[in-house]
Amino acid sequence: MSHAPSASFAKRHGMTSSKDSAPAFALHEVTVDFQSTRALNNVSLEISSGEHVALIGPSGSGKTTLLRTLNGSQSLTSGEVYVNGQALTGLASKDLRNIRRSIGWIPQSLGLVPNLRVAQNLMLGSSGRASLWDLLRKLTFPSRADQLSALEHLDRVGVGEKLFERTSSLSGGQQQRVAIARTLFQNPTSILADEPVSAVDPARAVDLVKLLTELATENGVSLVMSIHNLELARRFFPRLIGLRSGKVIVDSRPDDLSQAEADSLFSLTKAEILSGE
Amino acid sequence: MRTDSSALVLPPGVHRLWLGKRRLFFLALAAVTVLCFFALDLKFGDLIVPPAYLKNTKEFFSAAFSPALNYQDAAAAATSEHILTRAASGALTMIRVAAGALALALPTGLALAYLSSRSWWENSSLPKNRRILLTFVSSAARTLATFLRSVHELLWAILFLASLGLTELTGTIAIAIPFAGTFAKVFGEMFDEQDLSTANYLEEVGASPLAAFTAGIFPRAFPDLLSYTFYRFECALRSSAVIGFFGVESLGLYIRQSTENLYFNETWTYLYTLIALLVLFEIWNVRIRAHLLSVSGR
Ligand SMILES: Nc1ncnc2c1ncn2[C@@H]1O[C@H](COP(=O)(O)OP(=O)(O)OP(=O)(O)O)[C@@H](O)[C@H]1O
Ligand SMILES: [Mg+2]
Repeated sequence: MSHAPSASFAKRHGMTSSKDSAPAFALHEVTVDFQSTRALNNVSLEISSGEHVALIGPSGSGKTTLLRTLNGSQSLTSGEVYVNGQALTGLASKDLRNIRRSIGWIPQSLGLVPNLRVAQNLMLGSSGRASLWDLLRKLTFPSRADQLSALEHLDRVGVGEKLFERTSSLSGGQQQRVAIARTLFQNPTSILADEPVSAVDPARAVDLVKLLTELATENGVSLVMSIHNLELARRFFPRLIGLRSGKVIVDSRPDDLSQAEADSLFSLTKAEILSGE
Repeated sequence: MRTDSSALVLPPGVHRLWLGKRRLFFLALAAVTVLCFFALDLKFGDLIVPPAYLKNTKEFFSAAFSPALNYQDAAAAATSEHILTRAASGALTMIRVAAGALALALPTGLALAYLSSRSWWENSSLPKNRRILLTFVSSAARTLATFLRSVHELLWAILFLASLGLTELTGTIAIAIPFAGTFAKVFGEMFDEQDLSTANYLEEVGASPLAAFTAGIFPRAFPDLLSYTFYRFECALRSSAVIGFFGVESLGLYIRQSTENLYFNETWTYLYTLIALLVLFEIWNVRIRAHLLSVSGR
């Protein structure tokens, strides 16, 4: 047991911890440079806990880079990232790992192990919490409780019958569902998703985005998701953040997004077309 | 739209697209190879066997059609176990030595491969002093692995023969030493070749680099590791046959003794046993590896 009062204890006794008031994520004047490109340019924004945000913008605008700054995977050129009020720079790697445990991550490449069973890939979601020994046990001789929990999450995303299938035998869309279930298995307080519907047909994309936002709402989890499809973003997200060349150029509710703004997000200038961006 | 070609200028400098430094080096290497061949002063006439030897050669090969089912030496036939029992137990010893060698070499090689692999921490968030330590550890592990495999198992066998006597145990160790070094090198490379996406994912949800490696890279490499291990078991079997020639009581020794006594029919009995063993193992091996490849999706 830790000696810190629990959240509910703090509430009952009128104590306000920084956790309750601080936004889930805050970026303060963040700039990220790769060799010659500025991927993020002086970005400041806040995402409150439980909020759902869609990141939109053309290819190369910095969506992936922004998501990676949110869990401290991306080193910054300047600026500061706060997760639940906690600044990430200068954090000991152990403390950073502690923070990452509560942030789910669905990378564009999914990162599933193709030759493991689906259930085993789900167990990997808990790798932040489990000791190395526990993790190995979960991968080789998972307890009944773990198997049931894996089944429950898979069932929730609609691929329950694949529990013991080899992951490489699943279709691209099914694998994306498994990656979502893996994140649920992690039991995070927020989820970052990098274009989780880029590899499926439009109908499936609607299903998946709907599923993810519903799951996030059910569990009171904040959700930040990058997505190419502006229509989907408008339909399912109460807040849109538009990036272009590393800058936030739109931050609004879908209804307030003007046609001119939408055009400016996706239409390329002649100079950009010529430079191959 | 066509550009006016008179406005185009080639970048400055000489551009030899066909002859770089590396290609020159390989051309020189090829020349040296040819020179070496002539320096050997090979006489192809030597391949023609003198008639005196030809008699033995003919005897040896004609015996292939009638492998012995009984000892050719009457005294041995009276006192020893049946020749087929002897062949079988010789084969069993071979398998025992090979399996024992692998049991020693596999964990050692795996541990050294873990230590020498670099891909899992090179791009991770580890603090600088930890990286320096790991660089040192991995270099040390690689050096040790190189040292282990630099001396061939036959040389170890001869060294043991001279110092400790060549027994089943020393034969096993002789094979295990270079095999551990080879496992370390090949496994280490297999680890470093794996796709890092799972390991990266694991670190990004809070796993330690070691956990990320163990759960993100090891399972990906596993089919390759297993397939290579089966291949090496086959190699260990062949090595244990050869080491038998130096005196470990097994098929190799029986083959040597029977040829020295010119009991060629016996030799063929043992040879057929050896070939059958290796072929059976190879068939099993091929099937397992085909299965493993289908599992890893390649
Ligand atoms: N590791 C890297 N090394 C060098 N440049 C990089 C790296 N990662 C990203 N960049 C550059 O940073 C910019 C932003 O990249 P990012 O991946 O964040 O874009 P994105 O919006 O996710 O694009 P996409 O929609 O194609 O995934 C791009 O110009 C890209 O070339
Ligand atoms: Mg991206």
